[in-house]
Amino acid sequence: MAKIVEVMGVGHNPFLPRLFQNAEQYPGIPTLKERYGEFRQKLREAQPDVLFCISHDHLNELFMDNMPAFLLSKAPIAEGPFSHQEKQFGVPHYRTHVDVEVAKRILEGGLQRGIDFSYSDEFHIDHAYAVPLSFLRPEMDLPIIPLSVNCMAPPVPTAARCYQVGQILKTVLEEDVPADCRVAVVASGHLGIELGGPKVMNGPLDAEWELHVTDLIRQGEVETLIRESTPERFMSIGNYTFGFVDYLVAMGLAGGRPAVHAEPVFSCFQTQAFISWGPNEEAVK
Amino acid sequence: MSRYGVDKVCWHIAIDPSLGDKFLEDPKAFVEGYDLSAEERQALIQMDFVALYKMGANPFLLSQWAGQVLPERKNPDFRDWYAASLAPYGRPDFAT
Repeated sequence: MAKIVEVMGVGHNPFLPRLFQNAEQYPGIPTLKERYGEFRQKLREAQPDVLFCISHDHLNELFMDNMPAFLLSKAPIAEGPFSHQEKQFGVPHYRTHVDVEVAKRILEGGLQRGIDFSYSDEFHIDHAYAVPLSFLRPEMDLPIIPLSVNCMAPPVPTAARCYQVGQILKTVLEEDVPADCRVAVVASGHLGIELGGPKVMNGPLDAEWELHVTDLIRQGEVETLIRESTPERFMSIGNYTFGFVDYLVAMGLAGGRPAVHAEPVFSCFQTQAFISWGPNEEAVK
Repeated sequence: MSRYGVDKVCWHIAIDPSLGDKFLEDPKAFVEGYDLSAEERQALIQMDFVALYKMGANPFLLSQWAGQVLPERKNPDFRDWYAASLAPYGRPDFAT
Protein backbone atom coordinates (compact mmCIF):
# COMPACT_ATOMS: atom_id res chain seq x y z
CA MET A 1 0.00 0.00 0.00
CA ALA A 2 1.30 3.40 -1.00
CA LYS A 3 0.98 6.12 1.59
CA ILE A 4 -0.64 9.45 0.76
CA VAL A 5 1.65 11.67 2.81
CA GLU A 6 0.16 15.04 1.80
CA VAL A 7 -2.69 16.38 -0.32
CA MET A 8 -2.46 20.03 -1.31
CA GLY A 9 -4.13 22.47 -3.66
CA VAL A 10 -2.65 25.67 -5.11
CA GLY A 11 -3.14 27.88 -8.18
CA HIS A 12 -0.97 28.40 -11.27
CA ASN A 13 -1.03 32.07 -12.28
CA PRO A 14 1.67 32.12 -15.00
CA PHE A 15 2.60 35.73 -14.24
CA LEU A 16 3.77 34.88 -10.72
CA PRO A 17 7.37 33.79 -11.46
CA ARG A 18 8.03 37.20 -13.00
CA LEU A 19 6.01 39.12 -10.38
CA PHE A 20 7.88 37.42 -7.53
CA GLN A 21 11.06 39.18 -8.66
CA ASN A 22 9.55 42.51 -7.53
CA ALA A 23 6.85 41.18 -5.24
CA GLU A 24 6.69 44.26 -2.98
CA GLN A 25 5.43 46.39 -5.85
CA TYR A 26 2.12 44.51 -6.16
CA PRO A 27 -0.67 44.23 -3.55
CA GLY A 28 -1.03 40.69 -2.24
CA ILE A 29 1.92 39.24 -4.15
CA PRO A 30 4.30 39.10 -1.14
CA THR A 31 1.72 36.94 0.70
CA LEU A 32 1.54 34.58 -2.27
CA LYS A 33 5.32 34.27 -2.30
CA GLU A 34 5.33 33.56 1.43
CA ARG A 35 2.60 30.91 1.15
CA TYR A 36 4.37 29.11 -1.67
CA GLY A 37 7.48 29.08 0.57
CA GLU A 38 5.46 27.56 3.43
CA PHE A 39 3.86 24.97 1.17
CA ARG A 40 7.27 24.08 -0.26
CA GLN A 41 8.44 23.39 3.29
CA LYS A 42 5.27 21.40 4.04
CA LEU A 43 5.86 19.27 0.96
CA ARG A 44 9.50 18.70 1.89
CA GLU A 45 8.53 17.63 5.43
CA ALA A 46 6.08 15.07 4.01
CA GLN A 47 9.10 13.33 2.40
CA PRO A 48 7.32 12.13 -0.73
CA ASP A 49 8.87 9.72 -3.25
CA VAL A 50 6.55 10.82 -6.03
CA LEU A 51 4.22 13.76 -6.74
CA PHE A 52 0.80 13.05 -8.19
CA CYS A 53 0.05 16.31 -10.03
CA ILE A 54 -3.59 17.04 -10.84
CA SER A 55 -4.36 20.01 -13.04
CA HIS A 56 -5.52 20.78 -16.54
CA ASP A 57 -3.80 21.42 -19.85
CA HIS A 58 -4.75 24.84 -21.24
CA LEU A 59 -5.39 23.76 -24.82
CA ASN A 60 -1.67 23.47 -25.44
CA GLU A 61 -1.28 19.73 -25.63
CA LEU A 62 -4.95 18.83 -25.94
CA PHE A 63 -7.61 20.18 -28.27
CA MET A 64 -11.23 19.51 -29.13
CA ASP A 65 -10.28 17.09 -31.92
CA ASN A 66 -9.88 14.51 -29.16
CA MET A 67 -10.62 15.90 -25.72
CA PRO A 68 -10.30 13.51 -22.77
CA ALA A 69 -12.17 14.16 -19.53
CA PHE A 70 -9.38 12.56 -17.47
CA LEU A 71 -5.99 11.90 -18.99
CA LEU A 72 -3.17 10.19 -17.12
CA SER A 73 0.36 10.60 -18.38
CA LYS A 74 2.81 7.73 -18.39
CA ALA A 75 5.27 9.49 -20.68
CA PRO A 76 8.75 8.83 -19.21
CA ILE A 77 9.67 12.53 -19.05
CA ALA A 78 7.53 15.45 -17.86
CA GLU A 79 8.79 18.66 -19.38
CA GLY A 80 7.37 22.12 -19.95
CA PRO A 81 5.93 24.62 -20.31
CA PHE A 82 5.71 25.22 -24.05
CA SER A 83 8.16 27.69 -25.57
CA HIS A 84 5.45 30.26 -26.35
CA GLN A 85 4.51 30.25 -22.65
CA GLU A 86 8.11 30.65 -21.56
CA LYS A 87 8.38 33.69 -23.82
CA GLN A 88 4.97 35.17 -23.00
CA PHE A 89 5.07 34.77 -19.22
CA GLY A 90 8.66 34.00 -18.26
CA VAL A 91 7.62 30.68 -16.70
CA PRO A 92 10.79 28.74 -15.84
CA HIS A 93 11.44 25.45 -17.59
CA TYR A 94 10.68 22.34 -15.58
CA ARG A 95 11.93 18.85 -16.39
CA THR A 96 11.68 15.69 -14.38
CA HIS A 97 10.92 12.00 -14.72
CA VAL A 98 7.53 10.39 -14.58
CA ASP A 99 7.23 7.34 -12.32
CA VAL A 100 5.98 5.16 -15.15
CA GLU A 101 5.58 2.04 -13.01
CA VAL A 102 3.33 3.81 -10.50
CA ALA A 103 1.48 5.56 -13.34
CA LYS A 104 0.73 2.17 -14.93
CA ARG A 105 -0.58 0.82 -11.62
CA ILE A 106 -2.84 3.87 -11.26
CA LEU A 107 -4.06 3.47 -14.84
CA GLU A 108 -4.81 -0.23 -14.47
CA GLY A 109 -6.23 0.12 -10.96
CA GLY A 110 -8.36 3.05 -12.09
CA LEU A 111 -9.75 1.13 -15.06
CA GLN A 112 -10.63 -1.83 -12.83
CA ARG A 113 -12.27 0.35 -10.22
CA GLY A 114 -14.34 2.56 -12.52
CA ILE A 115 -12.28 5.36 -14.08
CA ASP A 116 -12.15 5.13 -17.87
CA PHE A 117 -8.91 7.08 -18.11
CA SER A 118 -7.41 8.26 -21.33
CA TYR A 119 -3.66 7.95 -21.20
CA SER A 120 -0.68 9.45 -22.96
CA ASP A 121 2.86 8.23 -23.62
CA GLU A 122 3.82 11.68 -24.90
CA PHE A 123 2.34 14.32 -22.62
CA HIS A 124 4.04 17.68 -22.13
CA ILE A 125 3.25 19.72 -19.02
CA ASP A 126 2.08 23.30 -19.45
CA HIS A 127 2.26 26.17 -16.97
CA ALA A 128 -0.51 24.65 -14.83
CA TYR A 129 2.06 22.05 -13.75
CA ALA A 130 5.34 23.93 -14.27
CA VAL A 131 4.36 27.02 -12.23
CA PRO A 132 3.34 25.25 -9.01
CA LEU A 133 6.17 22.71 -9.33
CA SER A 134 8.75 25.47 -9.82
CA PHE A 135 7.64 26.98 -6.49
CA LEU A 136 6.93 23.79 -4.54
CA ARG A 137 9.76 21.57 -5.77
CA PRO A 138 12.32 23.71 -7.62
CA GLU A 139 14.92 20.96 -7.12
CA MET A 140 13.22 18.95 -9.93
CA ASP A 141 14.45 15.82 -8.13
CA LEU A 142 11.18 13.92 -7.66
CA PRO A 143 9.31 11.92 -10.27
CA ILE A 144 5.78 13.08 -10.93
CA ILE A 145 2.61 11.61 -12.42
CA PRO A 146 0.48 14.20 -14.26
CA LEU A 147 -3.28 13.89 -14.48
CA SER A 148 -5.15 16.35 -16.70
CA VAL A 149 -8.84 17.05 -16.08
CA ASN A 150 -10.65 18.84 -18.89
CA CYS A 151 -11.34 22.32 -17.49
CA MET A 152 -10.91 24.34 -20.69
CA ALA A 153 -13.33 22.94 -23.25
CA PRO A 154 -16.88 22.54 -21.94
CA PRO A 155 -18.73 20.40 -21.21
CA VAL A 156 -16.34 19.49 -18.39
CA PRO A 157 -16.66 16.66 -15.85
CA THR A 158 -19.12 17.30 -13.03
CA ALA A 159 -18.06 18.17 -9.51
CA ALA A 160 -19.59 14.92 -8.26
CA ARG A 161 -17.60 12.86 -10.76
CA CYS A 162 -14.37 14.68 -9.95
CA TYR A 163 -14.80 13.98 -6.27
CA GLN A 164 -15.64 10.34 -7.02
CA VAL A 165 -12.56 9.99 -9.26
CA GLY A 166 -10.49 11.33 -6.35
CA GLN A 167 -12.03 8.76 -4.00
CA ILE A 168 -11.27 5.94 -6.44
CA LEU A 169 -7.70 7.22 -6.89
CA LYS A 170 -7.27 7.14 -3.11
CA THR A 171 -8.27 3.47 -3.06
CA VAL A 172 -6.05 2.72 -6.07
CA LEU A 173 -3.02 4.38 -4.46
CA GLU A 174 -3.59 2.77 -1.09
CA GLU A 175 -4.41 -0.71 -2.38
CA ASP A 176 -2.92 -1.21 -5.85
CA VAL A 177 0.39 0.62 -5.66
CA PRO A 178 3.35 -1.19 -4.06
CA ALA A 179 4.26 -0.64 -0.43
CA ASP A 180 6.78 1.94 0.75
CA CYS A 181 5.86 4.42 -1.94
CA ARG A 182 5.14 7.82 -0.41
CA VAL A 183 2.84 9.86 -2.64
CA ALA A 184 2.07 13.56 -2.26
CA VAL A 185 -0.85 14.98 -4.22
CA VAL A 186 -0.39 18.46 -5.70
CA ALA A 187 -3.59 19.74 -7.30
CA SER A 188 -3.62 23.05 -9.16
CA GLY A 189 -7.00 24.48 -10.08
CA HIS A 190 -8.86 27.78 -10.07
CA LEU A 191 -10.95 29.92 -7.80
CA GLY A 192 -12.71 32.77 -9.64
CA ILE A 193 -11.09 33.20 -13.05
CA GLU A 194 -11.93 34.90 -16.33
CA LEU A 195 -9.81 34.40 -19.44
CA GLY A 196 -10.55 36.47 -22.51
CA GLY A 197 -13.95 37.54 -21.21
CA PRO A 198 -15.62 40.79 -20.16
CA LYS A 199 -14.13 40.94 -16.65
CA VAL A 200 -10.55 42.06 -16.09
CA MET A 201 -8.81 40.24 -13.28
CA ASN A 202 -7.33 43.15 -11.37
CA GLY A 203 -8.54 41.70 -8.09
CA PRO A 204 -10.89 38.96 -6.84
CA LEU A 205 -13.78 38.19 -9.19
CA ASP A 206 -16.00 37.14 -6.29
CA ALA A 207 -14.28 37.30 -2.90
CA GLU A 208 -17.43 36.19 -1.08
CA TRP A 209 -17.68 32.96 -3.08
CA GLU A 210 -13.95 32.33 -2.73
CA LEU A 211 -14.17 32.66 1.06
CA HIS A 212 -17.30 30.49 1.09
CA VAL A 213 -15.83 27.55 -0.85
CA THR A 214 -12.54 27.58 1.05
CA ASP A 215 -14.58 27.55 4.30
CA LEU A 216 -16.48 24.51 3.01
CA ILE A 217 -13.18 22.80 2.14
CA ARG A 218 -11.86 23.54 5.63
CA GLN A 219 -15.03 22.07 7.12
CA GLY A 220 -14.98 19.01 4.86
CA GLU A 221 -18.47 19.90 3.58
CA VAL A 222 -18.30 17.68 0.50
CA GLU A 223 -22.03 17.42 -0.16
CA THR A 224 -22.60 21.17 -0.04
CA LEU A 225 -19.62 21.82 -2.28
CA ILE A 226 -20.83 19.31 -4.85
CA ARG A 227 -24.40 20.59 -4.73
CA GLU A 228 -23.31 24.19 -5.23
CA SER A 229 -20.67 23.48 -7.88
CA THR A 230 -22.93 23.78 -10.91
CA PRO A 231 -21.77 24.94 -14.36
CA GLU A 232 -24.17 27.91 -14.05
CA ARG A 233 -22.72 29.00 -10.71
CA PHE A 234 -19.15 28.71 -11.99
CA MET A 235 -20.00 30.65 -15.16
CA SER A 236 -21.67 33.42 -13.16
CA ILE A 237 -18.35 34.04 -11.40
CA GLY A 238 -15.96 33.78 -14.33
CA ASN A 239 -15.79 31.95 -17.63
CA TYR A 240 -13.24 29.25 -16.60
CA THR A 241 -14.12 29.01 -12.90
CA PHE A 242 -15.12 25.38 -13.50
CA GLY A 243 -11.35 24.76 -13.08
CA PHE A 244 -12.28 24.61 -9.39
CA VAL A 245 -13.07 20.90 -9.90
CA ASP A 246 -9.35 20.02 -9.81
CA TYR A 247 -9.65 20.67 -6.06
CA LEU A 248 -12.58 18.26 -5.79
CA VAL A 249 -10.40 15.46 -7.20
CA ALA A 250 -7.87 16.33 -4.48
CA MET A 251 -10.63 16.39 -1.86
CA GLY A 252 -11.62 12.86 -2.90
CA LEU A 253 -7.98 11.78 -2.56
CA ALA A 254 -8.03 13.22 0.96
CA GLY A 255 -11.09 11.10 1.74
CA GLY A 256 -13.32 14.17 2.05
CA ARG A 257 -11.96 15.11 5.43
CA PRO A 258 -11.68 18.74 6.58
CA ALA A 259 -8.61 20.54 5.28
CA VAL A 260 -5.95 21.63 7.75
CA HIS A 261 -5.53 24.87 5.82
CA ALA A 262 -7.76 26.40 3.13
CA GLU A 263 -7.33 30.01 2.26
CA PRO A 264 -7.99 32.29 -0.70
CA VAL A 265 -5.08 34.71 -1.09
CA PHE A 266 -6.36 37.93 -2.62
CA SER A 267 -4.12 40.11 -4.73
CA CYS A 268 -4.21 42.54 -7.63
CA PHE A 269 -4.71 39.49 -9.90
CA GLN A 270 -7.03 36.49 -9.74
CA THR A 271 -7.28 34.90 -6.29
CA GLN A 272 -5.06 31.90 -5.58
CA ALA A 273 -6.08 29.03 -3.28
CA PHE A 274 -3.77 27.47 -0.72
CA ILE A 275 -5.21 24.23 0.60
CA SER A 276 -3.59 21.46 2.60
CA TRP A 277 -5.30 18.35 3.86
CA GLY A 278 -2.12 16.96 5.43
CA PRO A 279 -1.36 13.21 5.34
CA ASN A 280 -4.10 10.60 5.04
CA GLU A 281 -4.84 8.61 8.16
CA GLU A 282 -3.26 5.46 6.77
CA ALA A 283 -0.02 7.37 6.21
CA VAL A 284 0.24 8.41 9.85
CA LYS A 285 -0.13 4.86 11.29
CA MET B 1 -21.93 27.67 -37.74
CA SER B 2 -19.11 25.44 -36.57
CA ARG B 3 -17.35 27.25 -33.67
CA TYR B 4 -14.86 24.41 -33.80
CA GLY B 5 -13.28 25.78 -36.98
CA VAL B 6 -12.81 29.22 -35.41
CA ASP B 7 -11.31 27.65 -32.31
CA LYS B 8 -8.93 25.68 -34.52
CA VAL B 9 -7.66 28.80 -36.31
CA CYS B 10 -7.11 30.51 -32.95
CA TRP B 11 -5.50 27.42 -31.47
CA HIS B 12 -2.98 27.04 -34.29
CA ILE B 13 -1.91 30.66 -33.86
CA ALA B 14 -1.89 30.38 -30.05
CA ILE B 15 0.50 27.43 -29.96
CA ASP B 16 2.74 28.68 -32.78
CA PRO B 17 3.18 32.47 -32.57
CA SER B 18 4.99 32.57 -35.92
CA LEU B 19 1.62 31.84 -37.49
CA GLY B 20 0.29 35.16 -36.18
CA ASP B 21 2.55 36.98 -38.65
CA LYS B 22 1.50 34.61 -41.38
CA PHE B 23 -2.14 35.36 -40.64
CA LEU B 24 -1.50 39.10 -40.80
CA GLU B 25 0.25 38.82 -44.18
CA ASP B 26 -2.92 37.47 -45.75
CA PRO B 27 -5.85 36.63 -43.45
CA LYS B 28 -8.01 35.41 -46.33
CA ALA B 29 -5.41 32.95 -47.54
CA PHE B 30 -4.67 31.82 -43.98
CA VAL B 31 -8.25 30.73 -43.24
CA GLU B 32 -8.67 29.13 -46.66
CA GLY B 33 -8.29 25.50 -45.60
CA TYR B 34 -10.42 25.68 -42.45
CA ASP B 35 -13.98 24.44 -42.17
CA LEU B 36 -15.85 27.68 -41.42
CA SER B 37 -19.24 29.19 -42.07
CA ALA B 38 -19.28 32.25 -44.36
CA GLU B 39 -20.03 34.42 -41.35
CA GLU B 40 -17.12 33.03 -39.33
CA ARG B 41 -14.71 33.31 -42.26
CA GLN B 42 -15.67 36.93 -42.78
CA ALA B 43 -15.32 37.78 -39.08
CA LEU B 44 -11.87 36.19 -38.93
CA ILE B 45 -10.67 38.02 -42.04
CA GLN B 46 -11.99 41.32 -40.71
CA MET B 47 -10.58 40.51 -37.26
CA ASP B 48 -14.01 41.17 -35.78
CA PHE B 49 -13.31 39.61 -32.39
CA VAL B 50 -16.59 40.85 -30.91
CA ALA B 51 -18.59 38.97 -33.56
CA LEU B 52 -16.51 35.83 -33.00
CA TYR B 53 -16.98 36.12 -29.23
CA LYS B 54 -20.75 36.45 -29.67
CA MET B 55 -20.75 33.36 -31.90
CA GLY B 56 -19.28 31.34 -29.03
CA ALA B 57 -15.59 31.08 -29.85
CA ASN B 58 -13.54 29.68 -26.96
CA PRO B 59 -12.70 32.96 -25.15
CA PHE B 60 -9.24 31.85 -24.01
CA LEU B 61 -8.18 30.87 -27.52
CA LEU B 62 -9.87 33.90 -29.08
CA SER B 63 -7.98 36.27 -26.78
CA GLN B 64 -4.68 34.59 -27.66
CA TRP B 65 -5.38 35.04 -31.36
CA ALA B 66 -6.48 38.64 -30.73
CA GLY B 67 -3.30 39.33 -28.79
CA GLN B 68 -1.28 38.40 -31.84
CA VAL B 69 -3.22 39.95 -34.68
CA LEU B 70 -5.34 42.93 -33.61
CA PRO B 71 -3.82 46.32 -34.48
CA GLU B 72 -4.63 47.50 -30.93
CA ARG B 73 -2.60 44.70 -29.33
CA LYS B 74 0.40 46.92 -28.60
CA ASN B 75 -1.61 49.58 -26.74
CA PRO B 76 -0.89 49.62 -22.99
CA ASP B 77 -4.60 49.39 -22.18
CA PHE B 78 -5.27 46.57 -24.65
CA ARG B 79 -6.46 44.10 -21.99
CA ASP B 80 -8.99 46.55 -20.51
CA TRP B 81 -10.17 47.70 -23.93
CA TYR B 82 -10.62 44.12 -25.13
CA ALA B 83 -12.65 43.14 -22.03
CA ALA B 84 -14.77 46.32 -22.22
CA SER B 85 -15.57 45.60 -25.88
CA LEU B 86 -17.06 42.24 -24.85
CA ALA B 87 -18.90 43.49 -21.77
CA PRO B 88 -22.28 44.09 -23.47
CA TYR B 89 -22.40 40.44 -24.59
CA GLY B 90 -21.97 38.62 -21.27
CA ARG B 91 -20.63 35.09 -21.45
CA PRO B 92 -21.98 33.18 -24.47
CA ASP B 93 -21.92 29.39 -24.39
CA PHE B 94 -18.64 28.27 -25.93
CA ALA B 95 -19.05 24.49 -25.95
CA THR B 96 -18.23 23.17 -29.43
